[in-house]
Parts: sequence; structure tokens; C-alpha cells
Amino acid sequence: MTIRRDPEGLEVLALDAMLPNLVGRRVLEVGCGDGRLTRRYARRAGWVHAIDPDPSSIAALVADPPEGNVTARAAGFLDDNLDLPEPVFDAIIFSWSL
Amino acid sequence: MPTEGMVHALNRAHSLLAPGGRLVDLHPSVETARVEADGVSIGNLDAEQADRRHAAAEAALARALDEGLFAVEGEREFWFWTYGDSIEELRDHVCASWQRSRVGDPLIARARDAVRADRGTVLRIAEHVRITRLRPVDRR
Repeated sequence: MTIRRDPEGLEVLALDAMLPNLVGRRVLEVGCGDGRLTRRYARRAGWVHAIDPDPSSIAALVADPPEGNVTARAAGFLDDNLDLPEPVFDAIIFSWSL
Repeated sequence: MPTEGMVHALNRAHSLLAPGGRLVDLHPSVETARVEADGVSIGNLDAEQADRRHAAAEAALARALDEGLFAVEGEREFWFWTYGDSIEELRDHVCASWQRSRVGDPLIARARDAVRADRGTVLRIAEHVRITRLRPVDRR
């Protein structure tokens, strides 16, 4: 039993086309889920703050984030008490979250 | 999240972007997700709620552009495919992971027919996704 999501990697290719230079950039990913996309681009970014309102969805990313530069947390983007590590970001990714 | 909430989220994103920063939005297009057998569609998912949400996202983005919040810098579309070893596996995945869609019984029957005819049939769910790069417009 194996579900394979986007094994072709077309999603991250499309992201690369939209954000070709992530090196050193501060990224906020909204709606990261289990980190499917996060894991594919995070290594190239400066650092990534990933949020998702569903604790069960984001649990895998919180428990096992990609090496080094990713923080992940269960939170909604419109939460009044959303506590972000930076006041501003170089890129914000709405990851299937609108 | 209805359109109003989405517009609110776009406003918040605008306020959180550094100078030169960009917003990238990915969401499924209004084209309904479908199941394919060997690359050929055998039917759409039951996805009325999901389709409404995707239409709301399109409307929210259109409003953000109309109101001068963002300008589109780039856009492309791609297919996001989810493969399973059986239609039951895909059905269970959709049931567990997707909030607004399901694989209906008629579609399951068609997939089983396809696999019966050829045991090597590759089954997958196809979602058409739009990705947009948005530049925040200075509203001073």
C-alpha cells in the first residue's frame, strides 16, 4: 500500500520557476500540511517558517523537520495571536491554502 | 475559508512581505479532480465543495488584483498526480486526507473494470493546479 504524490516533482519545478532564487531567503509557507512541498525546497532557502492550522497534518513535519533551517508549527495564518519569528519575509507561499 | 477570509489572508500576506518580497499562491484550478487509468480520464471525483472553494480562491485573487493589492508577475499551470496501487487505496487516501472530495461508487466500479481488463493499469488522481507569482503593490 503506497500512495505516491507528485513523484514527477512537477510542483517543486513550478515553484522553482516562480521563485528561482531562494538562496538565503526568509520564507513563510502557509498551509504546509505534512511538509510535502517544504521538504523539496527548504534546503535552498535561508530559512523556512511553516505553519498549518491542522495539528494532525503538520505533526510529521514538526516531529521530523528537514535539516537545519525549518521551523514548523500548528497555527492558522489569520490567528490573532500568530507569533512569527520575523516581522517580514522575502517570500510567502500559500501552499494550497487559499 | 470563504472569499472574504481569503481576501483577508491576502491582505495579511501583503503586510508581511519585505521590500522586494513576493507571494506565491498554489491552488487547484476550477477543473475538477479526476481519476485516470493509464493516463486516460475515467471520471471526476465528487468534489462539489472542493470546486466551490477553488472558485472562491480564484475570486479572492481577482479581487486582490482589482483592488490594487498585488500585481501578477508570472503564472503557470501543472498537473499534480497522486498514484495508488488500487482504487480502494486512492479512495481511502482521499477520504482520510481531503476534506471536500470523495471517490464515488460509480468511479470505483469503472476503475475496477479497467484493472480487470488489464492488471497492469496505472491508476492515479489528476489535479490541475495553478501557481501564481504576485508582487505586492505599494498602497501609499
